[in-house]
Formats: sequence, C-alpha cells, structure tokens
Amino acid sequence: MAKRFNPVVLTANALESGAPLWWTGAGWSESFADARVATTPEQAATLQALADTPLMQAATVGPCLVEVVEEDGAWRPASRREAIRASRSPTFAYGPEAASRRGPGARAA
Amino acid sequence: MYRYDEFDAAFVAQRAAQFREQVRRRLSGALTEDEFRPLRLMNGVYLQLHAYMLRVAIPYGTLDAEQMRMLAHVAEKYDRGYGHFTTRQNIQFNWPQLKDIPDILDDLAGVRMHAIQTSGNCIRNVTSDPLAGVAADEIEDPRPTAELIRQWSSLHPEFTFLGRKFKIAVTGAENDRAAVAVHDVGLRIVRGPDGEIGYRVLVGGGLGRTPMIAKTLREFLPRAHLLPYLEATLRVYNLLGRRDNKYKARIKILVHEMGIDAFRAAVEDEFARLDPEASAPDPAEVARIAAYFAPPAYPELPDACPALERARRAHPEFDAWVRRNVHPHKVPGHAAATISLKPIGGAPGDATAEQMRLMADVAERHSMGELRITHEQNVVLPHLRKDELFQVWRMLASQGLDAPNRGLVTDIIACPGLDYCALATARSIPVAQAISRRFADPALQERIGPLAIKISGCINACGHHHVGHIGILGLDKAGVESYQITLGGDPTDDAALGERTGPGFAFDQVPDVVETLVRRYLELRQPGETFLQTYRRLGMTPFKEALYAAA
Amino acid sequence: MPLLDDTGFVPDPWTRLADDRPAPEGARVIVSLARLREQGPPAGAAALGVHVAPEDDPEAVAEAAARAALISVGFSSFADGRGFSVARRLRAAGFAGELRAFGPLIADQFAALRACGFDAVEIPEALAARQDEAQWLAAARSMTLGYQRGYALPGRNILEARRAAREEAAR
Repeated sequence: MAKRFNPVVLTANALESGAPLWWTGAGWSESFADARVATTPEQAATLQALADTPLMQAATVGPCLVEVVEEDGAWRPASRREAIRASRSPTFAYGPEAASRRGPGARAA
Repeated sequence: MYRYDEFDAAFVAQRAAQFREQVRRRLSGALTEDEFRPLRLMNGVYLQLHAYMLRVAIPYGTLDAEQMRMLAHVAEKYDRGYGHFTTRQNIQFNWPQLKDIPDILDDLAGVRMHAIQTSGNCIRNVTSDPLAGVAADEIEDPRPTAELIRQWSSLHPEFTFLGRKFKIAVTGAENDRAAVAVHDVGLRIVRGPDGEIGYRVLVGGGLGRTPMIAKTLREFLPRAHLLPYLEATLRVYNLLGRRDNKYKARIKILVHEMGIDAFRAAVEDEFARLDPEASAPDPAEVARIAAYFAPPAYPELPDACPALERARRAHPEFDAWVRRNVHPHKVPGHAAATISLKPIGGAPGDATAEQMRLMADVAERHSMGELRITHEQNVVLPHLRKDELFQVWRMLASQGLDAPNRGLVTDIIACPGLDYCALATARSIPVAQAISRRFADPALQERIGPLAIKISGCINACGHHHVGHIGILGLDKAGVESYQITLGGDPTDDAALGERTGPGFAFDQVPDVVETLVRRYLELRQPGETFLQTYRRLGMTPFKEALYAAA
Repeated sequence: MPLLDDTGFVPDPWTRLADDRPAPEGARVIVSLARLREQGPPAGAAALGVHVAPEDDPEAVAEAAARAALISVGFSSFADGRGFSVARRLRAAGFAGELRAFGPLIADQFAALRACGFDAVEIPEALAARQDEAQWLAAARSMTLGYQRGYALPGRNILEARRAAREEAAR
C-alpha cells in the first residue's frame, strides 16, 4: 500500500543569519504562518524540485520538505522538532529574562 | 596560566582571517555547503534549529577574568545576552549570525581565545581536571601537558580529516576528575619505576551510542615520547579506523574490533618507525610551557580561619554553601570554590553576560584573576583565601550564583536537547528544570547526598547519561518523547556505565521517576551510604520494582 | 584532470593508463597498483607512476614506491583524510619521487597536503571551475605559522622559531 500523502511545506535556514525560513510560493519568510502548504503530491513534487535547484542549495542551507497537519483550521508542523523550530524559540524562557525572573535568590525553593 | 607569545597570537589571528575568507567564499558560492560544513565545524560553527551556534574553546577549562569579560561582550554584542557552558569545558553561543562570526573570532583573538577544533572530525579541545594546580591529591599539574597537546593538535596537517572526532583528556591527580576513561585517549600522569614522571595512556573510551570504558594502551610512557606516541596512535587510527559508517568510526570501535593487543602492536610498530627526536618538542620548550603554570604567589596564612568559622555560624545559608561548594586547597589558609550554574529551575550551564562579568570581578578581586570551567557545567574559583569566602559568597548571591548544590540532585548535567539542537530527539533542559524544581528544598537535597543526574536528548550522549548515577536518555518513539533511565553509571576512577531499568517513560513522568528512585534509596541506604554505593550493594532489582511495580 | 602545484595549474606530463591499455612508447605513465603487481611495469614507458588507494596493503605500496618515480594517492572524497597519513608514511620511509594527491580535494586542504609530503594535487574539472587558481594559492598561504615538527609546513615552524629565539637570547 502506498504511503498516505501528508501535506508539506518547504523550509530551510538562511545562509547569513541561520534563521529558519519557509517558502511562501513567491519567496522566503521567517514566519511559519506565511508558508505555502502543498496539499497534493503534485504540489509537493514541485516544491521538492525547487528545493533541489542549485540556486536554492546555494542561497540557503538544507532546503527540505517537512510535514504539516491541520488543526482548528490552521496548519502546524507535524513533529515536535519542527514545531519548536517554527516557534523560533526554546520551549522555556532563556537568557537574561529567565535569570531576572528567578531573581538573585537562586537558593529559594 | 599560559600566556600567548607573539607566535601563538599571530597563529590565532591568521586562523581568524582564514575563516573570514572561508565565510566569504561560502557566501560567494565558491564553496558549497557540503564543502563548507567541515570547514565551519572545525572552527566551532554549527547550524542548529533556530540559528548558527558558535562553540568557543576554553582550553582545559582555564580562563582569566579578561577572557570571561570578553565572553560577556560576545554574548551581548552578537548573541542574546547569555552563553552555555558545556560538558567539555567550552562555551556555546546559541544565536550568532554567520556573517558576524569572523568579527567574533577577531574579538576573541584579542584576548587569546579561539574556536579552533571545537567540532569536526579532528582533535578536539583537550580537557582536564578543573582543580588542576590546586588539588591536594595531585602528582603534577596536568595543564602543561594539555597546553602542549593543544598547540601540537592545532591545525595538524595530518589529523584534520579523521574518520570521526577525537577527544583527549589529561589528569594529574590520584582522583580522576577529568573522566579520562571515557575519552578517545586518556592520559594519567604517573610516576615510573624510578620515580620519574610519565603517562599511563588509555585508549578507546567514549560515550555516544556505543559506550565503552578505555583500555590501557601503554602502562608507562616517558614524558619526552608523548607527542610522537600520540602521532603514532592517531596515524594508526586515521589509516585503519572505519569510514563506512559514522557510528562505527570512533577509535573505540577500531580498538574493540582489532582487540587491544593487536591495536597496541600496530601503534608500537608505527612508533618504532618514527624518530621521536624529529617530532618531539625540545625539553626547553616543555619547560617554557610548564613555567607558565607555576603556582601563583600565595600569601602565607594559617590554615585555621576563625573569621570563616564565625561567618558560618552566623549564616546557615553560607555554611551550607561552604559545606557543598568549597574544596580543600593544597596551600594552607586557601580554598577553591564551585560556582554552581544550576539554580533551581535554571538551564544547566547557562550564564548571562551580567553573571559572567560578576564572575570575572570575583575572580579578579579574590581568585588571582583565574577561573575554571568544569565538565559538570559549573565554574571554579581556584585560588580563594578562606578569610574572603564570605565576601565571595555575598557577591555571587547578588546574581543568583550561590546555589549550594554542587554534586547534589539538582546539580544536573543536561545537553541543549531538542530546544536548540538539530540532532536531538527529545528535550533535555526542561526535564532538568522539572527535576530541579521537584527537589528545590536545600535540606532535602543535602539529606539525599551526592547524586549525579545526567540527561542527554539523543543517543549521541552529550549529556553523559551513561555515566550518571541516574542517567536519562530522551528518544523519539513514533513522534512522542520517551525517556530511558539508567542507574549506576560513574565517570571517576571506578568508571562504570549505567544499566537500563526497563521501558522508557513519558516527558511528564520523569520527575516522578526520579523521586521514586530517590525514595527507594532513602529507604534502603545504610548510614553514610551514597546513592551509588547503595545501588552497587543491592543492584537493580529493588529500584526496578519501585519503578515498574505499580504499572 | 587539472593539476596544481605550488605555482598554480600546470600541464600534466603524466598519462593515466587504464589496466587494459598498453603504454605509448616513451610516455610517463601512471598505472594501478593491481596492474603493477600482476603485469610488472608497462613495456616502453619512459617513467613509471603508480596509483594507490588508502586501503591498499602498506607493504605492497612500499614495494611499488621502491620502483616508481611518482605515486598518486587516491582520496575518495575531501573528507577522507587517510591519504594524508599514506603520504607521511611514504615520505618517512624515504620515498623521494613525486607524490600526487588525486581526488575531489578542496583548496583549503592544499597547505596540509603539501605539509604531509604531496607535491601536487589532481582535481576534477568541475571543482577546478568553482575554485580557481587564485583561491588555491591564497588558501595555501593563509597560514604562515604552524606548531608541528617534522612536517613541511608553509612559512615558519613556531617551535623552531622559539628555539632560535632562545639560542639568540643565550648568545
């Protein structure tokens, strides 16, 4: 039995900044919400062909397709990894903000 | 501490300029990503989930106040105001842009720092004992040896495209605080038959997906033969190590597949073909390096310190910190202290720029300007006067750097995990945070006693879970995070790998699992027994029952 | 394929010979190690070169080196660093002929190749088109200092420089 088709988006990281990018159909966006979703195998094949072009390989790092699912009328990445990546942040507060939230009393419970 | 001479300084500056040119060629298209990747990796640049990551070398974990301030500067100017100290005594910045990295390297070169060989299939940053030079149980300070290896391995023309990464650790003490038995090559400074100093050479240790304890390659290696012998060992590995499968490419697999005796014969044969005189540094060069590590001029002090005792009685929280975080020093009236980077609920090993500056200030005022990074992701102040400990503690407390938990249940090692890392299969920092909050009560932590929890977010084991008293390995099971528990691991002299308890647990269950294990230990322990000792006495069964009986 | 030495791209006076082809009279030819072992040196050739792979038996490579004026060492990819050690061993054993690295190596490796004893590098056309002569020569000279004794590093050896400085100071 053929594998069921899952909708996908095209993603990569920006060469200069390293930031995650999503293909909008006309260009790259740093927001997952802008991603063009391929809902048919034909559309997915078009995106894959785009990812494989030398220009795309040279201008970004690691262009590839990732699966998305629909939830409450909106698309979200299927895997936790891609969800974290799309959120553009770790799942916890970090850096100076986290330290100031804890305050100087690290010992306190 | 080692100070660069004009040659070291020029070398690092040239390397930074070389990398700037490599970045330019990548951006111009002359280098493909496939070609650029190994070049950027051998200069510490990864591409992670959210951004590039830059790993800066802190050779054998030693740095001075000026260097720590530069790390703070890099964190603020090019990153998001913080850095992450790693289990290999380095620091990682999580958000730099590729186009800025050449500038960062120039800034670092200005204070004798670099990112050379902090990643890639080459000889990595040499690690060592964080208490080097101050520990009472030391035969010889391991840092001159580590510095010699740092220089020798830097941009080594023959060993820069190895089958896989190659990690060397050195210890000079009776008690191994550098985990040398889980390195590709581990060196123990020992005395030979006539009392002369040399090395016991271990080979083929490592964690990762096939954890192994190192075997003895040479019982006693004369000091003068160190670099030629390493050359012979690396050459045999470079020629014979597997290249067909990256998971079988470490030297531990070669040693395992050949057998230690055949591997030793190959190394000795290669060594016999070398002219040690042609590749070894001359004794004057060895002496030149060693001179930098001569003990600083300590003031003469009585060992007893009434002021310290008074402060301990007056401030129970300070007393707890001294009990847990202060180490004996070989010089009377002095002590070394661990700055814990494990506040309750924090990300293990993270420090903000402000905290780095404070640590630099404390080091400058009280620790002869020197700091150490430990493989437990903490910082050590190596040269403190006992009568200044209270001031040191007060300064640290002002920035939340006073957690009195060194070696306790909340002193958790964790890799960056799925929150940052492109290789991870599960989150690790949030697991550490949840466990830390569960055991937040300092009195409870102290009652539990020494307990090392180590968490890795994938099988590559950057969190050293195999050698945790409680090891936690996060995996992906059909899209869901699942955490395997191992017990009884130990990276020290009786190095042992942990044993799996059984089926894994869900993300939310992990704090309960740890609590169940700890409760069982508290019920079973004999007076004075640590978690590890109880486990070694009773084995897996009682712990396994506690974990799975209810299921 | 394009050939580089420390002066840049140079014409290749050697011909690589497939295992079933005879040597043109008076030519300088490179044959495989297997062919040399089975058939001996090709008749009529003016000079013998041998191509070896890193997995070839070191004894057979040493034997070939004793008869050849050129050894070509194969690199399956630029990440396969075994050839560096093959070259080191050959030079340490006294091979004084020409040593050539063969494969998809990149400009950034040129200095290390030369330090390990290679004289020249033979690379695929496409790679030469992307990384021109200027890049190779610049990469070879990007570091003029190094720490390892016993290697033909470009520029100065730091340990020797320090030794010289010490001797100067002692005088």
